[in-house]
Amino acid sequence: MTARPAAQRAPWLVLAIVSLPVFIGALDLTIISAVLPEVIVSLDLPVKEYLDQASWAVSGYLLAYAISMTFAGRLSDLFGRRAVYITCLLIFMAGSYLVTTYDSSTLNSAIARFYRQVLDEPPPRLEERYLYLVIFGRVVQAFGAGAMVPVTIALAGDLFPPERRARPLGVVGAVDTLGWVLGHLYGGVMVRLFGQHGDAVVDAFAGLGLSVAKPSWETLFLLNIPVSALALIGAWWALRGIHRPRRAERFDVLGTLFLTLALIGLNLGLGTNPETASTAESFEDLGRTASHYGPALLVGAALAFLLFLLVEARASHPLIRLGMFRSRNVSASSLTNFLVGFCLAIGLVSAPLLVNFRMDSPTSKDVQHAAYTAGLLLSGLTVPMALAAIPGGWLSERFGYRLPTASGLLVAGIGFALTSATWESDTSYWLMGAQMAIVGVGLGLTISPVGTAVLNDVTESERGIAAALILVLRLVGMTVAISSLTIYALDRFDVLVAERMASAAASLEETVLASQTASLEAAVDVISELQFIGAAATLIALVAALLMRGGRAARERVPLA
Amino acid sequence: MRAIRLLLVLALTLAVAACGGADSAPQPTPDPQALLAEGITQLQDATSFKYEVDVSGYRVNVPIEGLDLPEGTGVSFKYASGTFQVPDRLSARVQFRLGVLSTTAELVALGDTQYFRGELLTGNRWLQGDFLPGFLPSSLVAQPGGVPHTLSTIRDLALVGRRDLDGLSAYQLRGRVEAGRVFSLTLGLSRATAGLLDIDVFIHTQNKRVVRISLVEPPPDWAADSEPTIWQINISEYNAPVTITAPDADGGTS
Repeated sequence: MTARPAAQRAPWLVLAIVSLPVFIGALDLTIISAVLPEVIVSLDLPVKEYLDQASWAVSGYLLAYAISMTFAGRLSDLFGRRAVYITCLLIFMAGSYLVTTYDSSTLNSAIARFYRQVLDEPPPRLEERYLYLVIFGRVVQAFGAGAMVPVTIALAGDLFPPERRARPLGVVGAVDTLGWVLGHLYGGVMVRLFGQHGDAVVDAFAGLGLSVAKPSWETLFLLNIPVSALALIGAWWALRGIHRPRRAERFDVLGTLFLTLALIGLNLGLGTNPETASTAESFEDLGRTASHYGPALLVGAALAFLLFLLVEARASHPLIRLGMFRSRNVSASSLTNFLVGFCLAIGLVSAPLLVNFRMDSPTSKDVQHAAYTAGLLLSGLTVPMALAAIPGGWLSERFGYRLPTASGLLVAGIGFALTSATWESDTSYWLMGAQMAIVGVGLGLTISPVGTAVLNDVTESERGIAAALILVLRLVGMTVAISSLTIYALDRFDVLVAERMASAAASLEETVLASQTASLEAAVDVISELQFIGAAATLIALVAALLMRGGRAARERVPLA
Repeated sequence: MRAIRLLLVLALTLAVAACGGADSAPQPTPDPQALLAEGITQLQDATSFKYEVDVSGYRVNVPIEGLDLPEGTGVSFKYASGTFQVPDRLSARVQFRLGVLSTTAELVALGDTQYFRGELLTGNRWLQGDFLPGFLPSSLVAQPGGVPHTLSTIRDLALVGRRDLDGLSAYQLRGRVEAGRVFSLTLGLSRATAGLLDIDVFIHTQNKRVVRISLVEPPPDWAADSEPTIWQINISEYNAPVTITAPDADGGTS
């Protein structure tokens, strides 16, 4: 520990300051999903036609968020937490500003010039270029936002001694989770408020002699800048003297490159997006971003990962020291966290799918109502999950890593078993919400002990990369779950519908009715099976968690550099 | 793959941004009439070309008889792009605004036979019918009435200078044209029927083809303080091999 006064006297205050941008960055992960149609409309593009392209404003953010996580932790190990954290925050601010400058004539002209001079093609129309620039701004934002998460987790490791790390790590986990949980809601509510009271805001500023434009979705990104600026000043002050960098070591560029390629290949190859999957209306929707190049991309991802392992095994200063996995806590926690991500994905897609299958008709009123109900049910999973991360930290400090992790997984498993056994086409939303909350609490309890177990079992110089590992594995678990389960669900759904339709009545009207009933019943069965898989996955995770060393962190020998 | 391409484009774009050329004086000064004549000839003789019509400024309403819409939510034209193939084939993708929402429709015209589809109007199924009564693709280049003819009637023509259109080097010619003659340029949607409108024509410095036409239409009298309507017509890919064929339509409807 090399912390100076601010960190020594008020570590919780320092953690609060650096967690604020983490929250905003996580909020921005989902903020645009709710306002995407609004963005497309304001760019004067047809919504239906451009929704797929525009969804890259969400997917691109997620991908860049995950990629920057992988190496930012290591960068902070080498160059110091303060320098890397502040750089990431500046990148996030720059990205937020870039999103709002999509109509810059210089940038638009540059894109047109690129098409003409390099691609030898006519440039896309102006409004399309606007959209590209919004997506580009989002990717820049995400590079900063994602990078801040492992650096903040590593900072928690610097600020608190091993026996007191679990609670702060629980708080960081909760802040990150709450951010992406609340993003939809915040974006939707704010844009609605801007629409209803935007003129009043303009008038209020006019009363002060200031001329401002009517607030819109762009305002959401502009608001990031003053808040981040305050956090920047706070971080500049609070992080003085924290963590002495080890400049003697080199940054593993090649390893980072191969790991990044593997992650991009995996994400694009699987064609899934954990964030948008939670709004899926059908099994097909889950995998709707899959491309024809999927298998080739997956092979490429596997190859890149093998090359990454090869580079890491030989590098003198690897991005991830493979020997780290010889520690039982690191390897068991990594596997557990991957499976927690897998289970979380099942929880995220189940409720919206059932709500949408139960929808009476595809009228706009019913669709809106279904989206609202699905959103509430999702909150039933995610809000308890975020909140449970905090007691998870407390339990971890009291009882060690193994007990709260195993208990959490047991609770989640019970939740999945209940949902699998009881969900029918007419199950009340209250019961569904209560059962989702059980799953959420269970998964939330694991966040802190799993993170602490990894962080406490690596050297001080590896905390950054260890923090990244925790986060990335959960995201990979979510992606793999959605992709593999989509294939399974689609197949099962077709088989179950065919079985039920085998004895369908002869008349057209009866056939249509039978088809609708068969689809709903088959969907309920498939969702129940997915949740059964969720229960099974929590049991496997439970076995992995039991391999973690028990006991309290304070009693363990923590290797420090 | 689209995402990778998009990110590559944006990243490399920033690198290319520095290569932007500044406006420079023509050297030696070409004759504007000769430039325009060359451009008109190339357009007239083209076997095919791509075009884009983009509207900005005061909105261009599309009169649709019998459509009862709430006040202030009329249908307006925003953008069209398509391909013309001699002698009389055309495909177009047209974007309309309905209130604040935009929607797209597609039109294929083979002589006097028209096909149409739209998400809102036909559920994206191709239908055959007379959607633009009396419209013939050949009228785009017809003599008189077509785009080349309209350009040949420009008055007070002058060379403004050499311009860089985002990487495309062009001569800018400026003049005025009678409002009654811009039918083919504005797809018949311009409001103005009398008076003279400002027009800019951009001719490629190398191949002397017309690459852009910009037309300024004043707002209506009752909205005189509003900004004018700017019609920007981009023409590209002259003589590219294209084949416009009839889509699979469900049958006549009108």
